[in-house]
Amino acid sequence: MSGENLFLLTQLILTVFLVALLWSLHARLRRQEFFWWWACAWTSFAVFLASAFLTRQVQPGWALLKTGVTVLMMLAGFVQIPLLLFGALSLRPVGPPDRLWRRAGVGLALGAGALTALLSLVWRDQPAISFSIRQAPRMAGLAAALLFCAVVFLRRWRINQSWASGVTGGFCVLYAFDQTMYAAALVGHLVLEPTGIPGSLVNTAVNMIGPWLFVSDLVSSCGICLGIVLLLVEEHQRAERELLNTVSRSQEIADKNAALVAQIDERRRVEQALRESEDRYRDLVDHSEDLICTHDLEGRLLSANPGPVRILGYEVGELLRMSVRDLLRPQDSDKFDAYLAAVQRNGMAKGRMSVLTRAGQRRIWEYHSSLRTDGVQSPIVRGVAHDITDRFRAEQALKVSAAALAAAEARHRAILKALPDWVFLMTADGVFLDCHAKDPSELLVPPEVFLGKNIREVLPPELADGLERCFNEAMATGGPCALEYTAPSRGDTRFYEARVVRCEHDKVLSVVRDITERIRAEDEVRRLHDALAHVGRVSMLGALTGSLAHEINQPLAAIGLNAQAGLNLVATGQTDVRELRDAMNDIIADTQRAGDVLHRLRDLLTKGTTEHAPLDLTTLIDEVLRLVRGEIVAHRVLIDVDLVDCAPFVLGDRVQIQQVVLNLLINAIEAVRDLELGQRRVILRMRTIGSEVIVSVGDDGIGLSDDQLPQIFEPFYTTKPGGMGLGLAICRAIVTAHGGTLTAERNPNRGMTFSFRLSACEPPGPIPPAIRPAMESRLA
Amino acid sequence: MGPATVFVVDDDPSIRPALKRLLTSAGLSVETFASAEEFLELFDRKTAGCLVLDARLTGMSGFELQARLTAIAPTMPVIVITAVGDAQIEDDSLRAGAVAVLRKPFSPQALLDAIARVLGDCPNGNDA
Repeated sequence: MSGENLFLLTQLILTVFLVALLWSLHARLRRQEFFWWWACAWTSFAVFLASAFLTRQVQPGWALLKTGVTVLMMLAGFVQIPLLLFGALSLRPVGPPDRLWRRAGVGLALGAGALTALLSLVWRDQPAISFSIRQAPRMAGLAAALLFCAVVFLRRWRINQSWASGVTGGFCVLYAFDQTMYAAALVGHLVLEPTGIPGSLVNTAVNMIGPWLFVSDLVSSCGICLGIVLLLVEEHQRAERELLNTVSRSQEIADKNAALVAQIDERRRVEQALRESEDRYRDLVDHSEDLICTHDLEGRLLSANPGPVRILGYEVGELLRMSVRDLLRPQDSDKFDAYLAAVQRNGMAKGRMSVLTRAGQRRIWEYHSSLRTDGVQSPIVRGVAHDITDRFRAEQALKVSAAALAAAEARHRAILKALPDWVFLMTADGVFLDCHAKDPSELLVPPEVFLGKNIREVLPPELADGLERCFNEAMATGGPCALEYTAPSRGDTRFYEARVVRCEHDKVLSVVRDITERIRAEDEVRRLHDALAHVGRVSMLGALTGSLAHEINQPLAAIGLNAQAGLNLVATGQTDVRELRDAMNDIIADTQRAGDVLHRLRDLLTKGTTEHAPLDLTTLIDEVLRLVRGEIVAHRVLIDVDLVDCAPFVLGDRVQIQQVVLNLLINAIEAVRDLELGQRRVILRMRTIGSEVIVSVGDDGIGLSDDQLPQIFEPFYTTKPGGMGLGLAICRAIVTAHGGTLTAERNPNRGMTFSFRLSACEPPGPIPPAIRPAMESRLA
Repeated sequence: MGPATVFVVDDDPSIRPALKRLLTSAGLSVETFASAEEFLELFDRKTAGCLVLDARLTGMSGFELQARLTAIAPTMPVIVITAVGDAQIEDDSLRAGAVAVLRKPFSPQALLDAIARVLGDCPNGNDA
């Protein structure tokens, strides 16, 4: 192989390597367009070199093929020029040429290639010319394109500190210089030896310039190859750097993103909190029974919460088309004007307002309004109003009751003023706090002396004791607890009654009344009562005259008989001492017996005062029976005495109770004495029922008619001829005064039964033994 | 026929023993009864004597007994004693045949005299 062919092959291999490198990597590199254009450019150069290599291999006789390959070589050689330029242009900041320019460039190159190929064909018989025409313009154009590329690369080297660009640019310059040298050698050869036949381009150039051009050409080709590789490496490094950069930026962005997310979360939380807070406030406002509203300076409502609006009988939407004034009574319109003016003037207003519900009911609102000027286009009034109707009514009621209280107090003062009694207010311990007395001079001690002092310091000890007991009882039960006492007043002893009640919780109120007149009147009544009872007894004794005579005459007769018998015994000289002693004893007993009758008679006739003592009713009735025995015998009345075994006691006046029993017995005897013999029956019965003793006297007489029955206890009513009509009236008065009752009822068959009931009492201690036998003998 | 006996009917527990004691001391035979019913039951009509009768008795009255005695012992003289100064009783008793009516308290001698008189009149009176 000749040196020329080796050179071509070497260059072809280098170029193919470069092409392969560019095609395989251009798509992965950042400056795709540049590498694409250069891949195309060096591909066309490879085609050129391959065509050049082929033309040299074509055997003589294959002229057409050689021509065709030559044309292809020329077209490829010329196309390389614009492709290189496009690549260089795409690296420039101005950007790549547009499609029109590219087409024009490629077209121009192809045209130039075709033209030079055509001209070389024309001068086919002059190989030197045709070869020169074929190669020289191409090389010149290629040198120009390479120089342009070199300028671009060197600029990049200078600006971007890209050593690969610098290397590439440098070798481009060298390569451009080689091409220029080739072109100059061809042109020089054409000028110096126009007819010579150039062996080859290399030979021509070496012949013309020297062998170092050949070396330079290879070196520059390799240099460009190296520059491209370096560019690739640099791009790769830059890509890596950018990747790293991107990674770090993405990390940065991720960090920023995380911060942003956190920020967003925070904001979302804040918004949530805000929403919840707003919801809470809205809920509060919505469910508040107080009105929370805004209105403008004319009074038109701008907002209101639903609760109170519903109480008023409206819907919120409805109310917002209204003015507050529409809710007021017409006569309150002036007040509302004053309110609006006050809010504008002072920035706030508070007070009470009468509001009408839709149904026309009046509600009282207590409002507090303030003016809002910040953050609103025109000033508005925000108001809170609380419905105080109930409180207002309670206050009204309180006022009324306070007035009633004052009236009651005035009334009480008037009552106190009119009261003749003394009123003392004391502590429960008995310290005088206040006193009311019409005439303080009547008091035992003047008020200025006793007020603030204890009762023990100012009152007699017995009275203080009694009052203290009263106070204790009143504090325990609330009272009233009454105490009667006497005290000297103006030289006279007067009777007082203190009525004590508990007052508040630690005081007592004592109302003291002068009851002297009452006590004296009661004494007078009692005295009259006693006198009347006495009159009754005396008049009753008239009916007993025969009986009493009988009762006295019997023992008197017995005394006389016994005395005579004694005399006779003595006279006959008999010495029967026993008989004589019996007679004497009988005389004594009969004297006693007559004396008893006279005693009882005297008791009944004595005008005594009432004395209460425990009475043995059995003994009492027995004595009465003795008094009337004469009557019973004289009128041959059958008396049925039925007394209980136990001996009941009652508290009372002996004479008066005897009088009652006696009167009832006499009445009964009188009722039956005119009946047939054997029908004159009187029943005297005594029973105890519970704590009561009932003594009843029944008769079998004709009884009383319905008309008579209600009147028999009336004074001066009598059914007996010659009767005064006082007996039963007095009996009833006596029994009533003893706390008992006296009743009359008709027997089922005939006659009447009169009964009186008295409360039983305890016997007065042990009965003296001396009396007991006498009683027993009487009862026997 | 035994000696003349004085029958005493009186319900008073003081009078009865006193009369008995007096009449016994005067040497008379005495029988006492507390009521007319007792007397009628125990009285032996063959016994001679007289009756000292209290006008007012529980149960059968002296006046009734007097009336009854007229039928069973018409010859028995009756001396009525009474503690009640009632003219009605005296008149009734005398009309019914009583030989004497004495008001209590009477003189014991008056009673003894009256008894002596009636027993003297009676067929067996001398026996006393």
